[in-house]
Amino acid sequence: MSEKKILEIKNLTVDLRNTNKQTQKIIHDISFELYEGECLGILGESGSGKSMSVKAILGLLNSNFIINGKAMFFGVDLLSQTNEKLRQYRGNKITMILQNPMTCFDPLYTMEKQIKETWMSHIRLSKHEMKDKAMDMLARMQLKDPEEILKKYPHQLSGGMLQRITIGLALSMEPDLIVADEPTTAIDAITQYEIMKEFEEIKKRKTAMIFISHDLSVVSQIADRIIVMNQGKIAEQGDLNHIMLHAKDSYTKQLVSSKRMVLEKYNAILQKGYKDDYTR
Amino acid sequence: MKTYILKRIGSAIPLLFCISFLCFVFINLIPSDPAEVALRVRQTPVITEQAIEEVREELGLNAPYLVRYGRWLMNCLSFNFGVSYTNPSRTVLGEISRCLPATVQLAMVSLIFVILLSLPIGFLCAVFQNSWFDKIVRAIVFMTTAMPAYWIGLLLIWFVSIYLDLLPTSGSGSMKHIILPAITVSLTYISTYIRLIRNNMLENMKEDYVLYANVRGLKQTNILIRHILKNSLHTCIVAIGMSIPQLISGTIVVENVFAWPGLGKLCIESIFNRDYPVIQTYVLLIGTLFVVFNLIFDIISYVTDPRLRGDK
Amino acid sequence: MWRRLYKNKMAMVMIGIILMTTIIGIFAPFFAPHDSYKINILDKYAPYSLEYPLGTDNLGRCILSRMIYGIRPTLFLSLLTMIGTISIGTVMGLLAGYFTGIIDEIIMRMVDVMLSFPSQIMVFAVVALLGVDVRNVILANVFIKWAWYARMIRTNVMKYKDTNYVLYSRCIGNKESFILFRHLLPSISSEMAVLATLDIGWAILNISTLSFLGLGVQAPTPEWGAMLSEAKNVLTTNPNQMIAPGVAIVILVAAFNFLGDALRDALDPKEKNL
Repeated sequence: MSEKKILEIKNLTVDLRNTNKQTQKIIHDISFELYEGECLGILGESGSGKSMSVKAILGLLNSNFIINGKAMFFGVDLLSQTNEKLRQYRGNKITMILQNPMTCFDPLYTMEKQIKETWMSHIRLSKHEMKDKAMDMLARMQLKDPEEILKKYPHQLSGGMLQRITIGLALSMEPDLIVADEPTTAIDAITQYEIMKEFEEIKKRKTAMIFISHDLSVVSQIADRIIVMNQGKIAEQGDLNHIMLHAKDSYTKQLVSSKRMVLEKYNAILQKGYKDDYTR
Repeated sequence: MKTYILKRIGSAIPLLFCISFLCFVFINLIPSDPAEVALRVRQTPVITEQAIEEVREELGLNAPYLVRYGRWLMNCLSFNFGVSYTNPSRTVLGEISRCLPATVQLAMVSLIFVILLSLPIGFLCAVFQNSWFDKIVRAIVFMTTAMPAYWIGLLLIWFVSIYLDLLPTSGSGSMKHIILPAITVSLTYISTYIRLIRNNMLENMKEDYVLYANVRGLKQTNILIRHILKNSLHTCIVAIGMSIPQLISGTIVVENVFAWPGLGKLCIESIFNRDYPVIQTYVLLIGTLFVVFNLIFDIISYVTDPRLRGDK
Repeated sequence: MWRRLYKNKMAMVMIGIILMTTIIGIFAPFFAPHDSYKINILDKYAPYSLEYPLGTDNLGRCILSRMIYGIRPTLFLSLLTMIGTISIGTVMGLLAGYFTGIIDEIIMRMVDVMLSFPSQIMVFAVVALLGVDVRNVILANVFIKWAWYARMIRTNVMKYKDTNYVLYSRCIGNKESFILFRHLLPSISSEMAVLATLDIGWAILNISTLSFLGLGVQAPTPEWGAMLSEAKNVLTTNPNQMIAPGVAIVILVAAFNFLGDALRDALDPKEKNL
């Protein structure tokens, strides 16, 4: 792994303006960095600020949020960029995959229009090239019958298919950074497995990735290094082994031990189940 | 899709029957005897018991209620609404068709005002939520909902026509005459639709597809117009369509303020003159318009929604 | 809910306006400087003065006094309308929601028909049928509005009927009527308060509109809508005459609307509506 930093977050804080002019701290002074070709897992419960911090960097929060700190992406501070500059980064240099693919697309347009408009926002392509690119992308994501899929509306496709399309879109621009925000949470278990395979493929391409999840087992499957977030702070960071074995922070310990307990229980039940079956 | 349209039409028919039945009951509830009224209409000098009985027989008033309803309904379907009580030389159909164009004209001009103003203003309010523009518009919207339409009309007449002497105070004839009544009619609706579009767009902005559109790096104007506005207009489609019959029925007050010779003025005059057939037909007409427009726009909103259309 | 409302300063101001108007209306003879019917042709179209703070109208009557006496029909008739609407709506809604089955079916079909009709036209039809009179205006308003309440209450009753405390109450053998009045009514009353407050504004507008058209409160009686109707006839000579009644209607209706919105916010702070 090379030591080149592609993203460096310094002292990021996010405050939310309340209705009565008070502010509420959501993210307290976090700093982390991401190296080239690395997959960073961010782990935490819902509401711990894990996806909020990424959205803050990408300028996806509305003006009710006050963001401070620095986010250097290839030496450019994303937080001091204009909205238009940030937009050009999003979906191009930095792409993102969201939690619920079923609600991610506008229900009133066909997939073809929505895929095309994504590219049209960033590059110039002729109608023909656009169509070829779309067909190519769908085929690469192992979706059968791409021609048909392009004609369909989002509600006519399954969650798994839509998530493949979002992944395909995220990869299509050959980004420098891919952010996956709980990409498997809203999907059934079998598809989840297949989607995780896709992510392993992405990892092989050596594209830098931030993988956000509340699920330790999913994160441990893919991440090189893990950040544990709790209540808007970084509770722990290090590689997987380090987190599993030497967690210092009490919250992380709890997470790890609960995972262990579930595992033990699972094994116990399995064994007990076998025994029960035999005794019957 | 076809089954839905058929079902929707099927559900509108009983409603139309209900409305027509109500209108029929309405004229039968009035205290005066229709036979007696008919004699008066014919200007029979002396009204005797016997004459009343004869007219009863002649008009079929002795037939059972439902039979009479059936006959009346058939008459209505062939646009025979009877004769005006106050002016027997005039048919109700004649009266209505004399006044309808003026009202439709007023309603259409008002509709244009409503669309031209409420759409961009509602849109801007949503885009610049909580800016000074949004706050001012919201304050105005709040005030107009508390203002009686006729008072707005009076203020406009006084300010524009009397104080500034720009436009005629009342009556109809030229394009100049229509401006003030149309503004008055549209004001109430404008505030309703500004509110509707603004709130609907704000709801849509919270949706995932907007976040994802941003994630994909789409241009702001593109997201706002192609996605958010289109989606919110889509949810408002029925409400917007229903504004047409609402505008047609909503001109009653304004027509009376501006002496606009339309249906509303006819309706109020008929109420004072107890000209029941005219009122009955007016109510029947407006009721039917509501049901029909509701039907049409329900179907439109169904057909334009890929989720409901169900083409697989 | 009440504490949150109490914090809302504007809402308190609105309550103040409404209470003050009510008090002035009740003790009208005490507050009015003149007799509201006393005609004084010599003093017609008097401008604002100490003697006549809001001037006089086309018959030389004191506008302020007429405004004060006008509170009675304007405000109290709309209150009466709302009381009628709410009681019929509540009874129908409770019947439909509580007993379900055939009663529910009949009432809800009636409600559907009522709601599919444009309300304004219904008012005119009812007034036309019953004749031009204030009582008929109120009847007409109640007639077209009850359906909204019946439906709202039915939905809520349906919702609350299966909550645990109602089920429990039935389990321990309380009478149905007891359950109805002790449990269901209080739980839906707050939502009803919001709706009713907003609708009082609507009733004021509606009654004054009908009076303006000459279908409601009749001419010499001081009522704000009727006063505007008189003002309309002398618009060119004395435009001042239309200011006071119009402004009064706007303030009173706005106060009720604002209070209704504030009540709704206090009831459900998450739903911040315009």
